[in-house]
Amino acid sequence: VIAVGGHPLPLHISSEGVSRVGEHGPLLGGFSDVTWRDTTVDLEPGSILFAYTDGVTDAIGADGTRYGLQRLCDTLAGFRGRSATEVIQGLTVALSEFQIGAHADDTAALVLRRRRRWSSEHDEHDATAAGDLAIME
Amino acid sequence: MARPSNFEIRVQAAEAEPTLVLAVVGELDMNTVDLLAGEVDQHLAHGARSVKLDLGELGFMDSSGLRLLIELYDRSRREEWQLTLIPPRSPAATMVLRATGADEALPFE
Repeated sequence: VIAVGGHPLPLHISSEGVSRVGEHGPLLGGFSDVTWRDTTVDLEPGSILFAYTDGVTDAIGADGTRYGLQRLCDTLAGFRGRSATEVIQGLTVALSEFQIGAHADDTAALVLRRRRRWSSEHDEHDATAAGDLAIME
Repeated sequence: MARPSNFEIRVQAAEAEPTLVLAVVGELDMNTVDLLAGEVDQHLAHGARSVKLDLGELGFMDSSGLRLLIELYDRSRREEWQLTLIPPRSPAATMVLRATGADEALPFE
């Protein structure tokens, strides 16, 4: 179950592609008398939930364009089947190659990946846990 | 640092007028947010008691720009001056305000 507090909508990365999940909600801690709505997201084995701040998509490239949502989705689509740590490492490299100068303000990301079933020949070492988590900040 | 954003602040009313209007043009992000904060500070220091920020020509705003708007609104209530905001027309800047609830929480006209 997720609730979004002012950040971009998280991305669900599965065998079917990359899609946004959840509903926009007010900035956490920014305003009084606000509420948030829960959204249930089904994470099938091997799929990933990617939560991030706007600094990721706001990164500026050499030609002055922003990294943007489409570029982020394309990058993440190439990480299907990777571990949470590998996704963070791969995105960090992609952002560093794209942007000029220092990181944009407020650049953070969290990857939560549900592991495959223990019988998967590619993922037998994952049998002891249901998922893995990695954070970029 | 990243490439400086295209940014401009146009003062549209003299300080003698009841409301000072600052038109914010371009991209309000980590590279430009201090320019706007400094401009508002300067006018407040010279006695402005009513400030209107016209964001109509704002093309882009990131979380540092949003943070400034929230800080200015909190400060206006604390120091008892009036802040009014004119909403942006660009989809990118509008999205930031809608996605964070700031379009309803901040004093937009």
